[in-house]
Amino acid sequence: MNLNELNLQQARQGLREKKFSAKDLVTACFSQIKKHDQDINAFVSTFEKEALKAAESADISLPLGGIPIAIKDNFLTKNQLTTASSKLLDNYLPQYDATTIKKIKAAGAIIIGKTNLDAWAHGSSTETSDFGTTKNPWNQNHLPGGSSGGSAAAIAAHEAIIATGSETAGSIRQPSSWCGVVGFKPSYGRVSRYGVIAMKSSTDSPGPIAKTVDDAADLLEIMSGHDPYDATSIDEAPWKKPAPLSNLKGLKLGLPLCYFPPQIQPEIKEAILRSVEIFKKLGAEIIELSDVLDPKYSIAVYTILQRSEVSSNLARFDGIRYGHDRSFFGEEAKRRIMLGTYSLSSGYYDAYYTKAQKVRTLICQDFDKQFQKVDAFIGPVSPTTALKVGASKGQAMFGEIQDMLVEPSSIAGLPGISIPCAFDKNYLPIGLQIIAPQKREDIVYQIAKIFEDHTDYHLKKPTL
Amino acid sequence: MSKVISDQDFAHIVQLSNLEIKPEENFIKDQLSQTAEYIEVLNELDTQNVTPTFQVNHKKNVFRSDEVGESLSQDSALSQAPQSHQGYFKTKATIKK
Amino acid sequence: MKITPIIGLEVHVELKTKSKMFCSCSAHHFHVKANTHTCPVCLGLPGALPVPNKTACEWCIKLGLALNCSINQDSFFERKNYFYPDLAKGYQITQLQKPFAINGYLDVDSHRIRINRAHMEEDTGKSIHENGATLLDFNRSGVPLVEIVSEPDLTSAEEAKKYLTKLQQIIRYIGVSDADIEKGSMRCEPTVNVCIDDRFYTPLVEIKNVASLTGVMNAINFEIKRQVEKFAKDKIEKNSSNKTTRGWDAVKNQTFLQRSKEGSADYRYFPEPDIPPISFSAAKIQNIKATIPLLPDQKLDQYQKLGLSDADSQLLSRNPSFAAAFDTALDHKTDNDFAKFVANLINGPIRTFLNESKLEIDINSIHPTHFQDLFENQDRLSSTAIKELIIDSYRDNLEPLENAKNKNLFQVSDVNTLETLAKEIIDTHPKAVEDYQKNPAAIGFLVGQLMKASQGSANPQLAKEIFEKLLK
Repeated sequence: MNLNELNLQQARQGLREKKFSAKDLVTACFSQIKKHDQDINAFVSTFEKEALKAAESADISLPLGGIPIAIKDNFLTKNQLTTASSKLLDNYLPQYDATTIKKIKAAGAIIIGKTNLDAWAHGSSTETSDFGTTKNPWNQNHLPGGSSGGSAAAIAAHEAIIATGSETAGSIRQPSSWCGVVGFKPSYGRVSRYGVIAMKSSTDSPGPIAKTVDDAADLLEIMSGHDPYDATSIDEAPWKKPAPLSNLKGLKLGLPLCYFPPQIQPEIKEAILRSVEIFKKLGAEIIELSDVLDPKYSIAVYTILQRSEVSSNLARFDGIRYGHDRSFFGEEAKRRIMLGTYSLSSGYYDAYYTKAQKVRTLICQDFDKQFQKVDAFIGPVSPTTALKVGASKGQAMFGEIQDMLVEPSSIAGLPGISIPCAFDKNYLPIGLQIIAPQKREDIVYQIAKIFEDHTDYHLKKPTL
Repeated sequence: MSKVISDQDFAHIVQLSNLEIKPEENFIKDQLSQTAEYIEVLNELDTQNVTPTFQVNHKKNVFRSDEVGESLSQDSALSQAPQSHQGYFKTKATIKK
Repeated sequence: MKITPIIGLEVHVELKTKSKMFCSCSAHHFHVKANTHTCPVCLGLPGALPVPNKTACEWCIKLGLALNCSINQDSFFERKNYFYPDLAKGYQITQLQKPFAINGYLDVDSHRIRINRAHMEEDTGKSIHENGATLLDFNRSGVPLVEIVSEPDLTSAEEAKKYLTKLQQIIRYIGVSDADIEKGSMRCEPTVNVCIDDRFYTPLVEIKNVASLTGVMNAINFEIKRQVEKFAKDKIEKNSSNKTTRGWDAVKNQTFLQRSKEGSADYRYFPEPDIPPISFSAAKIQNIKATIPLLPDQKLDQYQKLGLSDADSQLLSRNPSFAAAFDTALDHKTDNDFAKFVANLINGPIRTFLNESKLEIDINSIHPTHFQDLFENQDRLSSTAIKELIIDSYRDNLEPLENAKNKNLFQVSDVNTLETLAKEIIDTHPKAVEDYQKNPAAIGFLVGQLMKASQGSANPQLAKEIFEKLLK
């Protein structure tokens, strides 16, 4: 096995047992990148020279010492190109590191490059990137999903050991599902947003994308923790993963029936139902939830709030202090800015923005109600497996429809995870999601971990 | 509420957004109308007595104490600016509001 | 034709906190090298987030309380979206729906001027327009501002000036800002229209760029006249869409049109998602209230009750530093004579000394015991000596009694010594004695000779009495 194919646990062990050096590990990742990234296009930029240099002095006693990490290109990295996959920022060298980047560096990880995303994280395909679409490593005629498509593809293609993503509504879980990797979206506020280019401030949640549940949990431990620079960050010590469970006895898992909409790909429904059997065997009680609020409302709430906040968050990009002027915004960003401007403008504010915030209350209340009955939700991440390249073009709400099953939990700020649970007939991965109440990443981890221990989908590798 | 965004509305939105829309991008207007139509679905829900949720993690009173910390150097502040002049950012002339 | 001006004032006050409103950059920006007090937050770099300054929020509430406002216990910040190069983030963080303070008032010569709100926000950067380009300095970006909006209750330029002066005094009294109009730490935007014959209202005009109190008055007076003349010609009345913004040209002494179609401004306010809501308990608000000192009107009243003249009371109460100096020197004593004595020294020699040396009064240079010592020894010291001694005390912290001894300023009150000297003078100045016997008023010359002979240390009253006795 090539070193770049190791997961975090294996890589860390190998480094500590001196089976190989950090430099070997970094070199292996770059050799994979050189071999395949021209096709996959997971990276916007790579930092080979700096990474190799950092590898030489890597402190492997640190939690992520010497581990190559890929960073989604909306995390600010000091003096290293940060573009949000938009031409508007194609020359931007940030003056500071995001809080998470500081933490990741302090934990000893080596940043090998910045990964592609939908420009400004607007989308679920990476097709809105100004630097080309990322291809799904399982089938390069297909999309990786998005917006963290570059990070998910980089992990699936074993171009990095671990990666960061950010989710506003699905941007970690959906590409992880389409690329057959693990994407852990933490509770809103668990991971600092400081230095991550703001998209929808009230739900943006940076988090890990990795090869295994433990890898994702380990990176989440490093990324999490209260940040005085982010007033919305949870005022708690960094998250620690709990001990794994040996069975799920006493645990109630909710299966929301409306998460299986009519248009769902039948293989996905079957795959989730097979997973349900595994959970049952592990001792969990499965409870069908028939009165969960229809996710279609979440699509509308998300659309209004996301566009509104985007129209304001992207106002700072005027090309005076950094980057290029506003004519460099792509079509998708323009569309979103304008809808947001419209929904916030006088005469429409109450009908759109206030109404959406009220429905958001209903969505939160609905989760509270359901979590009286169950400990966690399980269900599909996406109604389809990876769609073909070009699928998103010309569809103004492509992402919203793709992300309908992850939007409610994003809007409510809940933690969730996508883990591989099957493949469809074209051998494209299918993702299972687990959603828990706010700040209950521990439950998410424990359920995901035991599922992974009893399945081998996470061990499959695409043929590149 | 009108679901169709008029040319006048559209022009106003473009201006408020500080964007320029090329003629070939005018289809965005219809897409906005479509999206505006889609989000009408929320009117199915009664929210008369519902309070809006602006923050999902129920935080309150987050402050910093009034202490001076480090600032960027002038060089660093200006380092990414397309144009600067004697320590100032420079841009084309604007008419004062 | 009956003309009633209707004037409202929007006042922005820069708080003198150490750091900015939402980041830890120094809030000091006057005459600072451009773009040296900026960081990712106030420069609006991608990914940066605001965290509110606690002191600034408390000071806004304190100011609101000093202006008799009610405090919204539950409040939050909002974004006001508009584009301008000096607005780094493309939005200003401010308060619209729930300002910290609402519904206050200020009495100006017993006319109650209602205050609609005092809310917390942040300043923008500074633009310099030069050779067809705009130069930008973001040192001021994010400096805490309180916006105080009056109702249109003012009826003349003179009243507006009084309102602003009073507001300025209060702000300085509670110590939250220098409120210096010339330096820009207090900025005023009058909104003016006129009611003609109790029936017709002229369109609203907001005046910008007024940089002095005189400017405010001149601009308002100019506008009143302009609007009355304009109405006489075009009869256009105020409506919901004809408010305009005019700039003030202090050189030409006139306003000029800056922006019409106010209706097109649409700031798309929405709650700031980066800052959780703010809630002040009643107890916390009480605590803030307790830190408010007596305000100018209350001070004036207090001083008058101490028996000070109206002039002295006014002089001391209108400037918080002088009031504080007086209070320090008085040291809680209630003796009217002592109060007058202290007021005379502070408003007299100390004020003159400060004016001449162009210094601000420094409360640390006021030594209450020195005032007390001088008061108790005023019989033995000439008024000139007292002035000299209090200035030495203020300037060099010299203990007045010791200083008087060293400088030989104590008046000689020993009758025998003075009599001996007086006898010598009578002997050597027969002409003066003759003059005195013709005209008692001529005693002044003899007293003067005695003062001279005693090197100024004689008590003049005593000297007079001695001559009168000897020449009886």
